[in-house]
Amino acid sequence: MTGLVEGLQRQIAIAMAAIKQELAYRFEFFTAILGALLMTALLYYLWTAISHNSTSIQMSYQALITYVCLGQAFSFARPGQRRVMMRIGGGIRNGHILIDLIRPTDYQMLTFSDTCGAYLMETLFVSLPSYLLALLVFGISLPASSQAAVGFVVSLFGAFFLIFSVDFMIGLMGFWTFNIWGFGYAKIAILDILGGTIIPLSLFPDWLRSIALALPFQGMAYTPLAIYIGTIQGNSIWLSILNQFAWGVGLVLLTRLIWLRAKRRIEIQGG
Amino acid sequence: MTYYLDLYFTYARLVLKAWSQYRADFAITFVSSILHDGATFIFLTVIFTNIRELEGWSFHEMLLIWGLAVTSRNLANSLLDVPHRIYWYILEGDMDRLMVRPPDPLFQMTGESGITLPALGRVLIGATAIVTALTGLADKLPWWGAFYLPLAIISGALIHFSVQLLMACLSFWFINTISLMQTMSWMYQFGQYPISIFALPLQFLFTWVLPYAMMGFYPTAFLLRGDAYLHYGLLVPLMGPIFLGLSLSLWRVAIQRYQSTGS
Repeated sequence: MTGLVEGLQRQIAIAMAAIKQELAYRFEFFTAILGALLMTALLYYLWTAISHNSTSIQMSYQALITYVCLGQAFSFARPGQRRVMMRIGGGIRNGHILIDLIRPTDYQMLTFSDTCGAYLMETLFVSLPSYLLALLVFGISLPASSQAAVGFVVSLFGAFFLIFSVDFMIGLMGFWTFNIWGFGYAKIAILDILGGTIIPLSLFPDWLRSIALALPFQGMAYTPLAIYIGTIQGNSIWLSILNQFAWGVGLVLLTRLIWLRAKRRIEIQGG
Repeated sequence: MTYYLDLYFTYARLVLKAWSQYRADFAITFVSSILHDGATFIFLTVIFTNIRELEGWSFHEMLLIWGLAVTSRNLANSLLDVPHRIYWYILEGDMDRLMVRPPDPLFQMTGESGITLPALGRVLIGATAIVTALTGLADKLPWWGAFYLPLAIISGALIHFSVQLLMACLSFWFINTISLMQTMSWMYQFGQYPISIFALPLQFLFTWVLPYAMMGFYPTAFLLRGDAYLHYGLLVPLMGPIFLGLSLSLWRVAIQRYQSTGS
């Protein structure tokens, strides 16, 4: 029991270190907020225009606007979010990964705690201001019900688990190829489309929607957003969260396997 | 002039050699870039299964706006990928090395950054979009488009480069502005849609301050709607050189202020 508490304390300390690091870059935060606000505005006006010109979209204007603005506020596809890739990919390039490896804590866990800290800061200082702007200025809706509000927050955690695994996996690719930034772009593209960040999946043609719903990416954006606006409701909320966490566990196991293989390949570029 | 050209090709050869060292990486970056820009294409396609026109603009017209924006932006990124490197040159003391050589430091950095191949891949995507769009719009095109579009693309590339350079120069006075440059370069997306859908302050911002609408929307509007966009359309080929002039002047002032980090 004391071992568990000690372990937890250690992970919290790592997360706190990440928080302090992020705070040191105030200007970066300022530009991240500015960027998020502008992107929210872009999608708001774009979808307002799309909605005016459509007769076939089944979703109401209000639901659409809420979905895309919220999706932008809590987006995991923001270009600045490369902390995991930086830590692993950059670490392999400049040799700093060795220092992380000799720390008395599991590397995957270390990266996870570090990311938790950074994500907390991002949520407080980028996502929430963008959300408030959308709520007060663009007039998006509040959660469809109290159940939707709780479901949204829980599935945001689920989305975070999923995205962490994907980022970790991309970072690990650094053991096989020395340049992983390309994967980062692919991730943004996949999240924007298949994750449903910039288009609600319900507007997809049927075949594309079936593909998107069968993949884990929908859990990284569409699930929390659809719960919030009430497209997913009642028991389906908990079923879709279960689906998220099932994928989450699967991906954690998969990345674990890859990590164990990668560890044997360590070959640092000159330092 | 020949001296500079000769020097540039030497640089280009060296950079290509460096790329061929990492062939698998190159393939990955290339494919990912295509996927990244392709996402916008899928976005447009899905949107247009739900609507026929966006504020009066058809799918092919939207495709042309997007194609022009992507092409000019990535033309700048592939050949003039300099502004966001300036900070690192200063930080690592490499600027000292450039300053003691005869050619202009900005030129040397252009040479050392060479041709960024992934961005060149994105230029191909943009060009494909332009060709597809033009084929679809064939009966609406005026003859002078053949001269106007290349000018618009070059001017657009200069706009993108100059805006980036202006922000990079600010880092001689303030702090590291890389994050600002990255964030702002993402705002090029405002230039991919009809400007009239945005609120007036945003229209002003993306026409005059960060003129990304001059890279995609205004050239297309002038080409297809002529008179209504006459003034903006004629300004498009001039906007690039104007911004280039502004940014180069600021660069000259900024480089005078340069102080070595001593590393």
